[in-house]
Amino acid sequence: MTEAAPGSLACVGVGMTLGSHLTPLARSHIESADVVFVAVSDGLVEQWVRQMHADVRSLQGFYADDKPRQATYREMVDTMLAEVRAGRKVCGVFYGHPGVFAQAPHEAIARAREEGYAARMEPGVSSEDCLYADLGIDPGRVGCQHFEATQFMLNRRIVDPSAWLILWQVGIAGDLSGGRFETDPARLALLVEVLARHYPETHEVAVYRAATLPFQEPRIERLPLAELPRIALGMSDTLAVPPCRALEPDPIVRERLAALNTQT
Amino acid sequence: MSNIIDFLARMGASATLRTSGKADLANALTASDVEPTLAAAILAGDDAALRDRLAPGKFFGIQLDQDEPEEQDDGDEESSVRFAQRRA
Ligand SMILES: C[S@@+](CC[C@H](N)C(=O)[O-])C[C@H]1O[C@@H](n2cnc3c(N)ncnc32)[C@H](O)[C@@H]1O
Repeated sequence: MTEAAPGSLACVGVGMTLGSHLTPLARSHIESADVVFVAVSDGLVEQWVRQMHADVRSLQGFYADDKPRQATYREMVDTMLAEVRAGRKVCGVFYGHPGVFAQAPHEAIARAREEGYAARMEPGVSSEDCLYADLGIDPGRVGCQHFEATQFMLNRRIVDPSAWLILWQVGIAGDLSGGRFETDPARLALLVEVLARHYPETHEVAVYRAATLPFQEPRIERLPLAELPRIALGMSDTLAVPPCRALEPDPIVRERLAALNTQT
Repeated sequence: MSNIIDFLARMGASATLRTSGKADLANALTASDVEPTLAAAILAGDDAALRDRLAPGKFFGIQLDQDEPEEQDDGDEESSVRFAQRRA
């Protein structure tokens, strides 16, 4: 009696820099899959993944300018799940960490599990990890908050200006259509206005882009907040805003802790 | 093609190559038989030229969006309930 092989899904990350960050486990998931799907931000990184398996299919074809990205993500999930349902061992390969600011991997795993298939995510080296290394930031020193740029503009968030603030997808900041892959000075000016509720316009911020190829240098461009609409930002850029205030001590909790200290 | 990708993969994984100066990198490129125009692009740090030759076209890296970008005014309670449901 032969049983159909049960399908499965693994979503893995290849890290940010070609050749530098791939974990042994992620490579093993790629090499042992029946079919590999790939969604990375650099064509050369995609070529690299193609060398790891005979059947690597790019998910890039689902993107198009002015096409709603939600439709793109749905198609990515459906395409991966169709192979899982056909009983195949599927590996989804994403750049950075597959679960950081990435919708399709989380959704594909949740849906595969709902349908009774084994599904797992393996972490990868994220652009966030590279940012800490390249900018010399330790998120534990004063804390660090992360937001998606458009969501940050559309909603009133509680911002702590004594911690770092990292804005992702700043290169499409303010896109309400869900289908544009760029931003413009007017939208960036509005982002500056929103940030200026918490930071002086002279506050120095940094545009950061990690190297995706091993011979590249990272982009680290420091500028006053108000200058942001005047520079070119792309899909891979992240904005890092340093704290503009010192930590504010809480005298009551301090006193209570001091009292506990003398008791014990 | 596989030649240059192999070289990049090796460079990415090599502390020596990633931190070596131009002269050592040039020697390594020659030793690996990397085509001279591609080697020149690498030495010049010209990633755009390399992509134009080997992986032309736009690559999209945006992977996260609001569920309904137009929708606003979700009550706090309602959205936290939806979040909890998704996690369950
Ligand atoms: C859809 S998210 C994917 C992030 C990815 N999963 C990761 O682990 O870094 C895209 C956003 O990540 C950030 N990002 C992507 N590539 C980057 C790079 N090379 N350097 C810095 N940030 C990057 C940017 O904020 C970009 O808009």
